[in-house]
Amino acid sequence: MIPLELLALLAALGAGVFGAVVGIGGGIIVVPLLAVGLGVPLHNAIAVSLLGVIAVSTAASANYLEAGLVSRRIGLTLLVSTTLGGIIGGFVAGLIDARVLAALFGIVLIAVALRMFFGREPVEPATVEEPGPLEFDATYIEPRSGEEVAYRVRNFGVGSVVSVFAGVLSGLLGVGGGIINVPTMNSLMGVPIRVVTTTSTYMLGATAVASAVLYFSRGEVEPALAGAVVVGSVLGGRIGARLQHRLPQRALVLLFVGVAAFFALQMLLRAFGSAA
Amino acid sequence: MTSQRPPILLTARVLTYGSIGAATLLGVGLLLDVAGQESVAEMVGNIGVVVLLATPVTGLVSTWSELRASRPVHARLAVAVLLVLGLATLIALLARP
Repeated sequence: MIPLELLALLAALGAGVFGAVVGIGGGIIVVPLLAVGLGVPLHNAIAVSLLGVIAVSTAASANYLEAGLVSRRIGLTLLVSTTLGGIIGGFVAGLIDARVLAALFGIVLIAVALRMFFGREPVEPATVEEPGPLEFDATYIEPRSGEEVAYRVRNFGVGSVVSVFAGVLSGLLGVGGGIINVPTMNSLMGVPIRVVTTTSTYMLGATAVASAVLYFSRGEVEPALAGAVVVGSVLGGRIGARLQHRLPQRALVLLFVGVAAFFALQMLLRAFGSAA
Repeated sequence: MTSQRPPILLTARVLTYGSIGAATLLGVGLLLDVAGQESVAEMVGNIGVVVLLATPVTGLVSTWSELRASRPVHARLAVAVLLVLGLATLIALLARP
């Protein structure tokens, strides 16, 4: 019989590849794979998923920082909000029943799947006039063309408030806050998608730490399972990043929508059915 | 443009070595667990978890160290995030079952 940890390693590897290819991170797939597929208690699955998020974020952030693609001004400002949200999410998760978490997870999965299916084109704004009081201008070097791209960051206050919810979601469900951070920074704050994805990745690690310490202190981190998920997520993320431009994106998004719908149904059955 | 970029090397190195170190410890812990050495595996795995949790924190400390002269606002933001993470650790210690 194959040990649970090796199955978890394969699950995290697959989730890491898939998450990196479709651009949503592995957490949203690895939690239901562990909980529904392998029978890991939901709180434990969320705890080790958070550790996977930290590992992938820190490994990728080093490269993004060296490439100059992370806006540390945006990232550090929003991190104050997301880490506060991470504490709230991690704390509340310790108080509520696994059925409630399963219901929340099912709803979030459906929302993410719908957003992926009806995904809008990313916003690429131009700078005009002088920046307002809560706005500032910034630039980055586009790696493909080598050109300097200027952009204006706006709605900083609203973005910071929304980021609290990204942290809460990360801490509560172990999915990383990217599913809220990315649309917030791009659509609401006007940051180019290239800087958004790298800055969001930079933020995910510290955000996940804020709640992971709470799960760790409650004894919900099983070290061998954590090892399987961390190693699988890091390797899967690297493989996925290499495959990203070679695989048909739309077909993968549709596959993700199908997989997410299946897991959402399983989570909702777990929440409202008899198999909690 | 490149000459105007704030220093980045220390933070990048901390994040790289921290994530490699943590993943290595957790991977060794996993192998020991599969090999039936549960008690050693748990100890190595727990050290790996602590190293992993400490990596982004150390990255923020190095960010503060790198930016305090050239980007004081960024450095203060790093301190603010560190304070929030300190609060999280305090709550974790107080809420231990």
